[in-house]
Amino acid sequence: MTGTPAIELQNVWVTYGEHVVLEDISFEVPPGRFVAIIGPNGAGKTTSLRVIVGLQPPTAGSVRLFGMEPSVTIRKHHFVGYVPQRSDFERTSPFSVLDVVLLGKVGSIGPYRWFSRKDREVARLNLQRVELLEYADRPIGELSGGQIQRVLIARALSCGDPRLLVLDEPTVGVDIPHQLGLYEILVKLQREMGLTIMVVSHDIAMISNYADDMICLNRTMHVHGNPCEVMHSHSVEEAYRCEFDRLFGAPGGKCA
Amino acid sequence: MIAEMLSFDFMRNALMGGLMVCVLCSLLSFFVVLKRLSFIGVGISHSAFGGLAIGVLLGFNPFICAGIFSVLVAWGIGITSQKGKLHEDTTIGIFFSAAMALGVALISLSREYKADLFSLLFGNILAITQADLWMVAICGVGVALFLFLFFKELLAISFDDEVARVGGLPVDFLYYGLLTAMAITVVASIKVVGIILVEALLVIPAATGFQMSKNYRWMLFFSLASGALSLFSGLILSYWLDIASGATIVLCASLLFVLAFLFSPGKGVLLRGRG
Repeated sequence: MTGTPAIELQNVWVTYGEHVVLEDISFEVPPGRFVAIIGPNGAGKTTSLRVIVGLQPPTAGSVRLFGMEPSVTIRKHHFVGYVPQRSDFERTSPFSVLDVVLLGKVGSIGPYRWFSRKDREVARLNLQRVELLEYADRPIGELSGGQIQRVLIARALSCGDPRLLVLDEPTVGVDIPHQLGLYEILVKLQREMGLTIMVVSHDIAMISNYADDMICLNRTMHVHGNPCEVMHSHSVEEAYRCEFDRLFGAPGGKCA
Repeated sequence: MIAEMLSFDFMRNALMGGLMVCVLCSLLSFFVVLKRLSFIGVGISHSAFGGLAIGVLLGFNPFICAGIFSVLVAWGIGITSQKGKLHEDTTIGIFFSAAMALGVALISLSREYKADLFSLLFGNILAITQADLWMVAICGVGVALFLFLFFKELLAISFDDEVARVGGLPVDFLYYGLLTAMAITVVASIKVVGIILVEALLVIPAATGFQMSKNYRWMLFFSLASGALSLFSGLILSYWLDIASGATIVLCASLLFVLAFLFSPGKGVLLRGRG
């Protein structure tokens, strides 16, 4: 599989009736890269992730994950771990942290069989990777927002044979120290497990410290490159319809 | 008194049928509460009335007709809520009132069946026959098998169906399977508690279990225990006080929920923080 892109989108369109959400998007992500998708509200960032994980079929164009159809990569190989934006479970759900992580494994086990000792060991290892092993037996609702996001990352890592981690706004509602901690964990996972990571983020300044590449979307793709290139590209200003200084904090602003 | 109760054939049938229905409903209620399907449950149970009426009017077995009709309505509710642009509660409101109205209209056409209307709506556990027991047992085995085979998959879709889908689970099959299991359980429960009150058994036991525990394993245990306890206490009280048994069972289940709501260690309103 060397040389095959982890993610490959070719001329992808998503439309709802007359409304165009994504217009002719094409990009490739090599395996092992940490890629951030940025763009203003309503730019189609979440839709592009949903296309990648197979939740939203494109109206036109093709998507390949590791050279295969997303359904094959997901159902047969269990390569993809997904952390949706604001997972809609109730905080009162009667699940422990370890139970939640184990639920990520269900799709790759098959009916009738219950979780094996090995499944539990892997789930505990994944909790250790996100630095929450000591919380394994706590009810999920007792954790903070930042900790829950880390549990959901551990659940995504339990998908079977994780190679691609897809996260939609994982830092929404998380305070700054926990945001930093979360991104550092993602970088560690990328390095240690060789994962390809794709994150949607609204915080351009923060994510540019961690991502290898950034893709700026606003319905169409405005720019794809390393953070330096992207942040100094006029395309970003064009996508956000505002000046660079206002996006990243102007020298001479109120704090000057 | 219990020995006296059990000396009657109809009481033994009532106990056995009631126990099977309560265990089945309690088991299913676990997922109804986790996946927040209680209003769909109301829709399915009330629409069974339309199916019963069709059976009566056409001269077919009303319970088989009710079963088929309820399954179709359950799928209809599922499809319109997932694919349509209306909110789920709106579509359920439309389906169940239309099916109920159909039932009333058809029953009014049938001259001889009106006398049994009360027992269809509110159950008549003391009239359970050997054939009814077999029907409940067959339905129960089917539903229990589905829940047993796909228990962890149903847990996963109850917690987060999008992630379950990305994880490769057949979410639609599991969702419609769960709705079908609810429809079958409703029909199997009609003789015990009736159409109006079956919804109570599809929600209250698991709500009690949920109130008693922060862990799904104990929640399931308390659901089953409170379902069985409601049946025994309800039957004994109804025999003793000579009141409608279905309603007494539901009242006992409700009382257990109120006790759990007030006094559960950790989650009870009066004891919160002390558990």
